[in-house]
Amino acid sequence: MVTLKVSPLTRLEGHLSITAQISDGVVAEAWSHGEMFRGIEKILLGRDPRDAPIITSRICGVCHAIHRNVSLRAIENTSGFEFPGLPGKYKIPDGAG
Amino acid sequence: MKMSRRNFLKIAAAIGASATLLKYKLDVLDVLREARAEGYQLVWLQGQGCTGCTISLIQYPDVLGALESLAVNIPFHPTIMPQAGVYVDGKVYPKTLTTDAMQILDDTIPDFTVVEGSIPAVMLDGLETHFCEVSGRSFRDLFVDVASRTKTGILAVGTCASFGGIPSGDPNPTYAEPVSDVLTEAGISTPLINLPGCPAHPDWIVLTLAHVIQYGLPALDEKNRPIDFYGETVHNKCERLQYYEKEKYDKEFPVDEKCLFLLGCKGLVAYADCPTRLWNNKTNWCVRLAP
Repeated sequence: MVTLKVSPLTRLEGHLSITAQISDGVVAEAWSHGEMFRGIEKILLGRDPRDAPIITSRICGVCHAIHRNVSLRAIENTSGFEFPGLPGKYKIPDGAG
Repeated sequence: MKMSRRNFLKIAAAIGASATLLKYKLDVLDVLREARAEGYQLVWLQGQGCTGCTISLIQYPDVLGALESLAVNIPFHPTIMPQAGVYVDGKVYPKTLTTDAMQILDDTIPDFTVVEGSIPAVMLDGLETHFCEVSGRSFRDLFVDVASRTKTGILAVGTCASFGGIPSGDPNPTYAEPVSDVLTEAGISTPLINLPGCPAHPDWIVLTLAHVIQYGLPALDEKNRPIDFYGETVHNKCERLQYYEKEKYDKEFPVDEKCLFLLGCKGLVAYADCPTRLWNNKTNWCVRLAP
């Protein structure tokens, strides 16, 4: 049994590590470690819902658009309200996100 | 074929770095070793950030050319460096320095340390892990370690590193702090330059580096921001200032291209030169983007 660890795993957004246990050339078990926590969900609690897409999009600076879109959708789903104008136009279709 | 660093960077820019690495692998290793021995060393650390500031910087037109003309090398940057930390049964694999990112970081005595993202508490009682770590090491300890051997200056890039940003938003679950607070607590007096913005403009990063290298520290305001970039509010140079002065406001979307103050614009209190510098290679800025 050999333990392979890649830490830090570079060339991607965020703090990620991978650990794998290799037995006879085959991966027996593997773990991925997210090594950074900010608690965005806790920061969102109690705020004006209109702040949520702005804050949520800061989860990732590479794929911020998808986080913003999903946050807008969450507001629509909970309120029954549909965003007019630009956010509605860029809304992702069901199942694509 | 022996390549100079200049040629290497030109080729890398022309055909894409990954293709170059495959074709000139041995030469590239030589070049990286040479590069580490000359010029200014810049270490880029990522704390509780989103990599948005990195994305902003690498969209700077001809960023390779700019860094080369300033003789700035970046031996450690988690998002763009080819090396990672690969360990087999706890030992570095293969046994060469160029593959171990953390060894490179430990060996580097940086002229500049750039921090992206805020810095959380080391570890709280009852928790078994850090809020942010790099290869098992607490990011806060790692930053203090690197900052204490930084020779010229520390750049806090982005609002998170400068002022705490979104991770430090109420109730601040991870006790996130800006770089300035951590430096004060650690008793490190290396000059600090804050470049807030979400993200920081690539011009602010590259021009600040250029200023420090060529002329020394730029003039800073009371919040350690370069006055050249942050001397005035966005409002003062806004192209729609006339509407504010005539009290003509947009009150709902879609907008009629008047003052956006009543729709939540923070230009009155935000210090930056966005109205004149513009974004995305001088094509646009937020006020013109309002739907």
